[in-house]
Formats: sequence, C-alpha cells, structure tokens
Amino acid sequence: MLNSSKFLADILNVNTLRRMLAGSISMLWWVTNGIITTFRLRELGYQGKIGVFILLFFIFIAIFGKALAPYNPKESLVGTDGKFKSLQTPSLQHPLGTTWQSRDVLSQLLYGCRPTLIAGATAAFMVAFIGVNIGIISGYFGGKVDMILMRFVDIVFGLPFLPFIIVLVSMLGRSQMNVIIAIVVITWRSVSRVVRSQVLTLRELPYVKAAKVMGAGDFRILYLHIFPNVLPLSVLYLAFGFVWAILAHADLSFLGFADPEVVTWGKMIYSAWAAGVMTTAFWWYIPPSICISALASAAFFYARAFEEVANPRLKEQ
Amino acid sequence: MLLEIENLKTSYRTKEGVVRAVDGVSLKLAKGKNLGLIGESGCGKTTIVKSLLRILEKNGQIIEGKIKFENEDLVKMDEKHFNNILWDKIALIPQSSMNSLNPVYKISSQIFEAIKLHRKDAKKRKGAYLSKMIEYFILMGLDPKRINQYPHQFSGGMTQRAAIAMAMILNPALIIADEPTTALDVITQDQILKNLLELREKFNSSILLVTHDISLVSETCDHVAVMYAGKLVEYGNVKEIFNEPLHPYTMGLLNAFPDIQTSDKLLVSIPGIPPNLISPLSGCRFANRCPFRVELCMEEPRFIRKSFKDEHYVSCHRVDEAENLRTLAKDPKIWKTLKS
Amino acid sequence: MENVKILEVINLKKYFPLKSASFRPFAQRQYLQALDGISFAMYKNEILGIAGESGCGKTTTGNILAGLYEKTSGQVIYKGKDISNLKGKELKQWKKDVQMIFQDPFNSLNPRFTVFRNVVEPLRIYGLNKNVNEIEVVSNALEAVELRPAKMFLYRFPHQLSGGQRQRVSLARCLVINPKFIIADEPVSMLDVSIRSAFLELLKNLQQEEELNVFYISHNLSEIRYISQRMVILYLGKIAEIGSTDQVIDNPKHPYTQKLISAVPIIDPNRKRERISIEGEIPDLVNLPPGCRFQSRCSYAEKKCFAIDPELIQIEDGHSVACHLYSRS
Repeated sequence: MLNSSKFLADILNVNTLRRMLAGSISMLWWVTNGIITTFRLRELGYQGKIGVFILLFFIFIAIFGKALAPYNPKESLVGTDGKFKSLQTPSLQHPLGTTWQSRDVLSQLLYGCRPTLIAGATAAFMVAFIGVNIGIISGYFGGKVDMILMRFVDIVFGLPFLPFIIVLVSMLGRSQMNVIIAIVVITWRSVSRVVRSQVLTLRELPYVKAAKVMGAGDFRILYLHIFPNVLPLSVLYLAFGFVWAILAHADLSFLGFADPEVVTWGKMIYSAWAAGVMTTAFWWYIPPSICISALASAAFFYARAFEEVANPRLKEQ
Repeated sequence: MLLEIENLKTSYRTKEGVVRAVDGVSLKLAKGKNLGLIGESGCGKTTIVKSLLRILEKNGQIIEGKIKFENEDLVKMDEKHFNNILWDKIALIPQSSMNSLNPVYKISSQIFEAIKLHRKDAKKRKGAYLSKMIEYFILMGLDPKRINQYPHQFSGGMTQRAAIAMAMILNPALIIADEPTTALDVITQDQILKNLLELREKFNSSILLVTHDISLVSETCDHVAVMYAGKLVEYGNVKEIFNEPLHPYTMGLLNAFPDIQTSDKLLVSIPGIPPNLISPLSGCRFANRCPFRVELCMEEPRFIRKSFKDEHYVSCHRVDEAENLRTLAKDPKIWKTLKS
Repeated sequence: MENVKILEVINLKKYFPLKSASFRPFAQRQYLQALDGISFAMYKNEILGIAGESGCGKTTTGNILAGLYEKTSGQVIYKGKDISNLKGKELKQWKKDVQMIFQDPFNSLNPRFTVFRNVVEPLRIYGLNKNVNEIEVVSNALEAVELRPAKMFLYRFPHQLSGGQRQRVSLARCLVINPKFIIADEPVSMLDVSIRSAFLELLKNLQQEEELNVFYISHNLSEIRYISQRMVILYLGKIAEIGSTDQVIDNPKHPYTQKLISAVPIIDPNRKRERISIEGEIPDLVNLPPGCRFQSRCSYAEKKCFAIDPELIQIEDGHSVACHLYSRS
C-alpha cells in the first residue's frame, strides 16, 4: 500500500531540506525578535518583570559564577584549627555553610548555575525545535505524513524515562551531553501533540486559505503563516522544556547518572541526602532547591511575558 | 403593560475602564404585541437581553434602573422567585441553538428536565407534557418522532425550531428572540418566522425580537426601538418609523438596506464607527457620523423628546426639520460629506 | 456589456469522498455530491452572482476556481485551455489572475503581520517586489480601497482595525498583483448593515476601473441583485436558473427560485409579499434519488421529475432554467 522508500525520497529530497532550513532560520528570527521585545520592560506586567529579572540574575551568575565563588567547590577545606570544616553552619567565612566533605556550599551553588542553565536551555531549544517542527508538519499536511509522524510519536511515548536513561548512559557514558539528549528524546513528544492540535485549527482559517490562493507554497505557509501563530504555545513549551530539563537534570544528578565531575544543584541535593543529613544540614540542600524552584518559576513568568509582548492582540487588552 | 424597562444602565468593568454598554434605556411592551429592538454591533441590545435574563458576564452589572415584568421589578427580585419566572413566563430563543442544547441528552429529556423545574406535577403528568411537546413539534413543522433524537441529528434550522418549541412549551407571556435566524437560510428563516407568529397568535404571547435585520422587524413587530451606542435613538410604531423616520441614524439604516424588489435603490453607507463607550461621552453619540450635525449637537447633552402621535420618540436636536433631512438622507453623497 | 467569454465552466463536478465509520474494504465508496455537473460562462467585465442556500455548492465552486479544491471532473476553460492542463508559466499566470476574499473579516488577515506585511505578501510570493518600492505599491493599493491616508494604516495590526477596514485590506491584498478575477465569498455578511453598501460600492467601482471580473457568492439575494449583472441560482449542486439579475429576480421561472425570492423579508411594512410556503425536507446528499433534486419540495412535481434530471433550457435570451415545466416548448 505505501511505497515507503519512494515516499521517503519524496520527503527527504534536497528541496524539502532546503526549505526546512529556511523555515528554521525564519523560526529563529521570530523567536529572537520576540525575545528582544520582551526587554521593553515598561510594557511587561509584574509577572513578566519578575521573570525577566530573575532570569537575568541567574544568567549573570552563570557567566560570572566561577569568578565570584570564594572557594574551589571541590576542595575540602581545612580550618584554622587544622581540622576539616565539615558540616559547618553558615558563618561569615562560609555564608551558606559547608558540606559534609568540607566544601563551601556557596561556591558550589555559584558553580552549579552554569551547567544547570546550559543543560536547561539546550534541552529546551532542542525540545521545542523538534517538537514544534514535527507538530506543524504533521498538523498541516495531514494524511499519510500525519499518520506516520504521529505513530512515531506514539512509539516514543512508550519509552520510559529512567530505563531509557540507564541504557543510554551505560552505552555512552555519563556526560552532560548524554543527559541532555536523554531529556530531549523523552520530552519533545508532548510538544508535538499539542502544537499539532493547534495547527489543525489554524490551517482552516481564512488567512491560511488566502495564502494558498495567493500562490504560497506549503513550506512558506508553514513557517511564515502558521508558525508565528503557534509561537506563544511554542514559547510556553520552551519554558516547560527548560523546567523539565532542569528538574530532570537534578533528578539524574541525584540518582547518580550525571557526570560526576560536574557540580550541579541536583548533585548537591543528592550529596546531602547521601550523607544522611537531610534533617540537620538545611543550609546545604535548601539553597539549591530554592534556586531550582526560582529558575523554574522565572521561566514560566518569562514565557508569559513573551506572549504578552510578542502577541500583538494581547498587547491591546 | 407586560414589560417596562425604566432607565436601565448596565456597564462592564474592563482593564481600560468602565464600558457603559447600556446608558439609560427605557422601553415598553404591551401584552400581545411585538417589539423589535434594532441596532448594530456594540449598540447594547444584547446587553439589554442579558440584563433582563441575568446572564451578564462576570464583569457586567446593572448600575441603575428598573425592569418591570407584570409589575414586578426583575432587577430587585430574589433569585428563587426569578428562577421561577424564567422559562415559565419569560423564555429565550437564543441565537445559535446548536450550542444551547446538551449533545448527550435526547431532546425530550432536556425539555422535560426544564419542565420539572417549573411544574411540581411534572412527573405525574409526564404523559401530558410529552404529548404537548409532540403538539408543538408538529406546529413547528418538525417530525414528532424527533423528540427522541439527539441534537446532532438535527440540522441548524431544525434545532432552532426545536428551541422555539422548547421555549413555548410552558406558554410564556414574553418570548425574547435574540437574532433567531441569523445563521439560517432565507427559506428556513421564513418558515421559522411564520411558525413563531402562529404560535404567538395561539397563545397571545409577546415577542421581543432583537436583531440587526430591519426587514424581520418590519414583518413581525408592531413597534420598533432603534439603539445606537448604548442609547435609544428612536422608538415608535413600525409603519411610522419606516415611512417617517425622525433620527438620522434610522434614516441611514433604512437607506442602507437593499430591497430585492427595487433594483435601482441607491444604497447609503454610514461612514465611521460607533464611539468608544468608555471615555466620558458628551453630546450626541451619533454626531461624529451624522451628516446633519450642527454646533448644538456637540455641546448639548442628549434627551428623549416625545414627538407627535402614537408614541413616537426620538432624540435629535433637528427633529423639526425631519422631513427635509429625510429627503437628503436618501442621497448617498450626503453621507460622504463628513470630515473626520 | 461586452459579450466576450472570458471563462467557461463545463459540466463541473466535485464529489467529496466520505470516510466510512467502519472498515469495509469491499464496500463501495460513498460520495457527497457537492457539485454535480454545472456549466456556465463568465463574460468580460461583469460581476456574476452565485446565489443559493447553504449546501448548494456555491462556496465549493469558488474554492475550485481559486485552486483550494481539485475538481473531480469537468472543465474550466481559460484562454482556450482547461486549467488542469496548464503547466509552468501558464499555470502561474492563472494562479496570479485569480484571487479571493473571504467572509470572515476577523480571520482573513494574519494577526501577527502588520497591514503592510499582509498586503505585500502576494508581491513577494510572485517575486514581483524585486524592482519596485514595496511601500509605494502597498500604499497605492490601500488608497485604492479607500483606506486613506495609507500611511496611517501601513503599520497597524489587524486587530486594531474595524471589520470593514479589514475587508478592505483583504481586497487591497488581492489588488497588488493585478488579478483578472476576484472571487468574493460572502464578503459583507459579517459586516454591519450600515457599512455594507460602502464595501459593495467599492467593489463595483474597482471592478469597473480595473476591468475585473467578480464572482460574487452570497445567500443574500438583495445583495446579489444590487451588485451583479448576471446571476446563477444553485440548488444542491446543480444550476436551477441562470440569467441576468433582472430576469431571474423579476421573472423567476424555476419553482425553487420563485420560493427563494418569495421568502425574502421586505423592509417596507406597507408592502406585503406573497409567501409561497415550502414543505418537505432536503434529500440526503449522499444517497440522492434519481430525477430532479427539487422533487421533494416542489409543488409542480410530476412523474417525469422523479426519473429524469432536467437539463438547462433556454427560455429567453440569456435566461435558462433547469425544469421540466419548460421542456415542452
């Protein structure tokens, strides 16, 4: 019934790829344009402002964290009395105290910001990129393309997160990149489903039909007419992806699947738990927990701000 | 007098401010008579209906005024008493019935559910009510077997007729029809109007027809109320309003309707858009689109003035020159002379 | 009226396949016969009205001409060739020559594009923006649809415009590439009555100035009467009557046309119209009985009507009817 090889050849020819590349660049333009507009702070609601500020704060820490950290986060420190400064409560020297291994918590927190943010952002963009593209292609073309893509999504839905990670990590080793890949593979599937359903509605709207009558090719319609109208949803999923990625990253660090050399917030919580001091050493695991929550909330607030300023209609309301 | 609306004011609270959707409207409807409420988008006619039936949105509120139904003020009535009146004495035929019927219940069940709320003897006399439903369905030109069908099995026109049958079943004194035929074809519309009028004759109910289509009002109503930007601009007997409109907006509206029987009627178009109902409004609200405006219209506040015979009301400073203005209003060019 | 035929539709059919609820590989495919063989011509510089009720196929016809649907069979002859046989440059020219405006002003423009970006789109699609000043071309188009001064509208977003203004922008969007045909699918039915005639006047004037042909689709007969010179009445996918507007409306011959016209409410309360009542239900479009489609609701139906589908018969110059009542002459 379906001549798959010919069909695939149809889809994967150079023209299509070229158009998709052009389309992706266009998508990037829309997203970047939107991000730039979010910095028109006066137009943001209070939620948006909070989101932007917290994100900027964490970005700052991510860039300058290493320089700001007072100590080496992996160095077990010795006090003036010659003994290891294990599990010290917060003090002037160590504003957030020390870990069981006599390491400065504040330094760990500052160092841990960068890998967390990078993992989160990378995963978020990859998730959004793959999910949105599949969603809009599937929703717009319908028919066989839709069927194939959605069955593919169904298969991916069947993949359980943890076992998949275990297999991946045991095959490819523990590294930041593998963690990111694992998160992306599991997360993009929901995005595509939701985007697809919105596209099903959008493609029936008169302006899409008008574009067809005007002679616009399918890919032009996809990336110029449909994508910008799916943008707010996409950005929301960017935020979701970001948050899931950070949390998954923390979980994986906690479970010991991440790169053991890299300091991350999740790892800090894991270490505190492993040391059995969850009921006593609050200064150790509460700061990274707060940071994770704050970052996650900021991402959602920011997504909301993005929608407010980038959607011309909402602006007026 | 079946229905008397006195100086009704309803507003909506929005981010930009308070929208005075209905700003002091007074209407009367006698028993057995039909009133057409005409206006275009944003004039406030739907808000009046919602105020009457207490189905205003959360940010809407009746600020002032009375709605007297059979001499009881609906605005101040307590909820229990009001719910008893609803459907029993006042019924609504909504614009798009497909959306007001629950798709998972049979039509007969839905109607019966509603009857139960108003008649204590509903269960005992179920048979009697069912046969009444069948009677009404036949009157509306629907196959009586359809009372056991589901809404999706009906076409658009049929659901509208079912909605009318449902509205009439307790013989309400007042039927409010909110754009009852907008989404329907001309032939279906004709059938429905005919059926509606027949039923009304039989039970001597009154209809409040809310629509933008003047031709429907001309054919079914005794009186017309013309609304613009939250206020009533003209009110009177249908023939008088048509033959001798006194308000420039009414004149414009009548001249903007194409007539299928005359191929050479010059159609008029009123330029501009209705005013924003948020900013404090002074002077005549139609002034910025009116080709006959004068200094007076900008500064003087509005007022309804009774003119001549048979309760013909209008609010226009130049009402004495109405005959002259009417002739001018027929010329499309007059409407284009406005400077913005 | 010049009698040069510019477009001819011959026996156009459009059947929509229905998806069956259950999987029956050997059962015959069922089709919704949206258009079952319609033929008409369009002459140079005219506005042709297509009237009928919902489900009659008027929007389907517009969509086929605009290229949104593929026809199932039949021919659409333009410049001597059937449009299905056009290739390359000729096909591109045909697509460029046909533009469409839609019923819903609120969704006809891309909400994320400014007015300028919306209107310039066809120019960019056809690559016609290379050696021209885009802003100038767009501004001229906006002025042509009476959105003046154009400067004020260029960078606004659709939601900042009123319904009437949006429809004008849609029209401007069509005009930038100088089309020959504009298909207008109920363009004013969602606009306030008091502004409809302005848009219709605009369409009429543009049609004359730019020598366009307009295919005006509507269920509102008064509107069709006002704007078109000739009109077609469709009923369930077939032409019931075709002729000049005056002929069809003042002197309707088909029983359906007569009922349709009698059902239009009159705004003048002093005049009464003759109401011809109509009984019966519309037949199932999937399983149509043989014979004339109007048989179930026609008061003149005879034996012949239940067996043979009537052909279009000319009863006077330019006026044809598809009804057995006239087949004797």
